[in-house]
Amino acid sequence: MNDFDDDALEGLFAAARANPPQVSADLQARVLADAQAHMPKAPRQPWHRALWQLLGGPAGLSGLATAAAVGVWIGVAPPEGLPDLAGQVVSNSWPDATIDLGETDTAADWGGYGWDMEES
Amino acid sequence: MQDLSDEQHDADAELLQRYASGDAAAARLLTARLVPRIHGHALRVLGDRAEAEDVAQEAMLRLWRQAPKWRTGEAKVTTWVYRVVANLCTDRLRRRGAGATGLDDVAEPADPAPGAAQKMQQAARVDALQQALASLPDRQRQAVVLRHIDGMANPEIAEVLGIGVEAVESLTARGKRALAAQLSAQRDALGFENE
Repeated sequence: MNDFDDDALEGLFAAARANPPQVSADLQARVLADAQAHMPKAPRQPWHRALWQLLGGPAGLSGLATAAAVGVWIGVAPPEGLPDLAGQVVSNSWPDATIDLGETDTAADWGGYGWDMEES
Repeated sequence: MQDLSDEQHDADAELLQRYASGDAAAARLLTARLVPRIHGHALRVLGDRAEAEDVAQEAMLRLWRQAPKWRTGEAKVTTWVYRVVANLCTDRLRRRGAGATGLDDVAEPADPAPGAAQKMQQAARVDALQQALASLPDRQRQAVVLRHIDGMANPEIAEVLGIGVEAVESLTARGKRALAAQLSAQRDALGFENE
């Protein structure tokens, strides 16, 4: 019998499925070049969202706010034993009781930074 | 048989969305998933390697352009891209005129067969099938390739070819009968004498 029955035909289809044509490197490169050329650009973030992400989102911002509040609090109402630096700078007074400067004159000490130099 | 499951549909659509949002890696993955299949289909239908490559590239180009407008759930990516390929192939076949299907070698055994004789027989079977396919009317050839080589279900083939399911059944049945008639003389030569 010489009929090409369904089983034989299926044998040919199976051979075709098992041996797919190879895609050339050139075709792949052409397709990827098209993809690159037509790829939509990622949408730009608004500045406030970029800043939000830069600061680390809610967790980063809450940490930053806490640290800033603690810094202000220590500056305004320093714990006992710490010099009241903010008060001294604002009032321009530097009591010997706070820091023992010995013989050193406070004004001269400030002058060490050149802040009191007068133009000649 | 090719995997045309819903999981794959979702994966292709997801990759296309990633590409649309500027992900170049998604384009590489989609290329690796789709191009071998559509190139293989075009080569079997057109029988010409250069034309098949042009069709595959053009179909993928249309997919890249479609990406920003793609609506998930409306169509499978594979069905959409196969439909583009089928239309491009039909256009080229019409331009060529009847009976001018090319016969470039399709057989390229990718996996080393256990023996040289078996490898040669596989290549001979693939070539014989390609020659017989080339003798079919265009629509029959497209339907047979989609059903029996690309592994699509009839409703999906109907969508790809833009015809009814019954028309697909008729095309594949007539196509298979014509192939059997064409190949009957080669049954023994192709190693089916004892099968």
